[in-house]
Amino acid sequence: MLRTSLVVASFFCLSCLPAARSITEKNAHFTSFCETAVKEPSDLVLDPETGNLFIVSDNGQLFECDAKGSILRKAAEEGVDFEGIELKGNTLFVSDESTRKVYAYDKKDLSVRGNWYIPYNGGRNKGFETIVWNPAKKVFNMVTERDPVSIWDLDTNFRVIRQHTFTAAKDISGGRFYNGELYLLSDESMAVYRLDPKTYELKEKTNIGVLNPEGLEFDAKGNVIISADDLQRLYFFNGFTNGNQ
Amino acid sequence: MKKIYKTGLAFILALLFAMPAFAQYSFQSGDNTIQVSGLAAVYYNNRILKPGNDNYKNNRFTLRNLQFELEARNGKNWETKFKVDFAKIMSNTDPANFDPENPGISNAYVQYSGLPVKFKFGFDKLPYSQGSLNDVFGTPFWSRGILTGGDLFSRRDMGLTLHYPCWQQRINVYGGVYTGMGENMLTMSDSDPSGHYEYVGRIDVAYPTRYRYNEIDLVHVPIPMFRIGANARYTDKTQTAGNTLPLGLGGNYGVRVINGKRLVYGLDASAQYMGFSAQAEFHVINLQPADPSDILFNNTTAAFNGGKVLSGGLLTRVNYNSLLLRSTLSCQFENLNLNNLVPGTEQLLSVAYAYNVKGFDSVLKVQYYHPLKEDQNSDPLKWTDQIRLGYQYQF
Repeated sequence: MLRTSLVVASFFCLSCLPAARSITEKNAHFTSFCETAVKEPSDLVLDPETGNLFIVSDNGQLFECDAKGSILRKAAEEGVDFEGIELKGNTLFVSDESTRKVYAYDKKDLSVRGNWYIPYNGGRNKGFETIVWNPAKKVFNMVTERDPVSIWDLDTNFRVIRQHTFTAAKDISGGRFYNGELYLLSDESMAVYRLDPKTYELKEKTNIGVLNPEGLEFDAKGNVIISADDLQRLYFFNGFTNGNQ
Repeated sequence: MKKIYKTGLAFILALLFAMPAFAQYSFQSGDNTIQVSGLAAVYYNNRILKPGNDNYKNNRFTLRNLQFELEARNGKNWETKFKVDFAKIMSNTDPANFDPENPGISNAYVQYSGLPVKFKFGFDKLPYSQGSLNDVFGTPFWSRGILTGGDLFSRRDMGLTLHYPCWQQRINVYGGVYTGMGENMLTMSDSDPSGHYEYVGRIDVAYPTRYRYNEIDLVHVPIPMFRIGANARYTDKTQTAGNTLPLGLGGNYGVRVINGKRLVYGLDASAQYMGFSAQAEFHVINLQPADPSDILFNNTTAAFNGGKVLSGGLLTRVNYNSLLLRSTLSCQFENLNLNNLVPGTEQLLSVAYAYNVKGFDSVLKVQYYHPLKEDQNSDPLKWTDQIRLGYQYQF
């Protein structure tokens, strides 16, 4: 009886222990927030030429907004459920989670130049939550939301090169490449994870304490912008990227 | 024997550690998507019977659910959903022993979301009672309370539902018209002879953000969240001369559908913060049977009862979810008056625990029931305590 009790107790204790990782964990420094007119904003990317933000929404819409989230213009062609956006040159790459498509929008007139289909048979609402250009490997990274969280390497024609399982977070809702590092955002964990851009080894976790964080972007100074879905807000943080700067 | 026991325990623990990743499966064709998912739940039920009672649904293993769900979407505006529970679809063919909480078919509808008001046509949950709308599979409980489990008012029906969300989905307004037959619609495939509809309305308001119909705070929300709701439903199922209601419509307490007028109204509230969550709701069922000799009047005179019978009660729940311990603990209290013309009220306490191997997708659940006060006239029990222990797995 004693032995059985010990076995059961060991099971509970072991399963409760967080995975042993040699990473640092810290909290982000919140500075301010603002409301955006975009309903259910799911990701955002900064245009370094203008300082404006391109924001996509759960309704499959693409907007150009000013730095405070006010809508300046909207793309005519819509998708179903936009969850990720990346700017590379003059092209905006937008991932549609439900239909597993990536759209290429011209940044100048927001017209669609083309689209690609990336087969994935996971749950409809557990598809690609983010799209990131990773210059360290010269690939696009697309990350599935959960069950499992998987980081995909894709070439510029969106052919799958390799998949990597990521187990540090319950889910992933956004991502961005900044200053030689890959950053992934988790909605349920309310945290940003810093990864080695080549090996995807986890280096650091930063807690942000924001409800429903969906999109992640850095400005030129390293300040962080987080878009939150249900609250329809943009949150601004600083002191976020000093892990190995 | 001891060795077999130890080996079995080790096998179960190893299985829990080695559980694979879970997910629904989907298929795309252009902007069309089909998603397949399912759930299986098995429990062991033990009842402490009162002296003098023989075996009464006691000491048994039960396949509670074996669900298969198909959800199809066309673009972002059209959706159809079909969910069947094979564990119940065979056993629920007897109207006299119909289980309204598990009717066999859970959803069969088409929804259009392309306008500010969403239209849903078919068989689905009614927009009434947060405890009914909440997903029981996302809680440590194996069953809802009596108040919200379908014994006092139906939880599902066939009809048309309109849903208007506004203020970033913080406010939700629902209205609908239904057969009024509830889950029994599935076994009868027709309405009652009167053909009168049931009308249901609900409004809920959440702050500071949208509040989904989940009872447990699985993510430890960093800001306090609240929701209050009000709902009502009305039907007049007075039967014309020579016609009677089909068998089994009244349910366990004879109040789900009656020959006469029926008005039900209630309020509910929900809150969550940093793993803690709580829910409360009450419902009043105002029954006006058409027949003065209806059993619901309990042989009282019209001068005494005023042609009216009241039923209803209060249900509260408090919950805590620990991410560190992978555990959820819930406590539920119910206070019921099944018929105000029959002496007696009922109070029930239930405590439930869940060990979340992977959230509520793969979870060990145990629920303990204990009646604090028994209504000897309206709901005499054959047991003093009950415990259910089982496993739930969904993909």
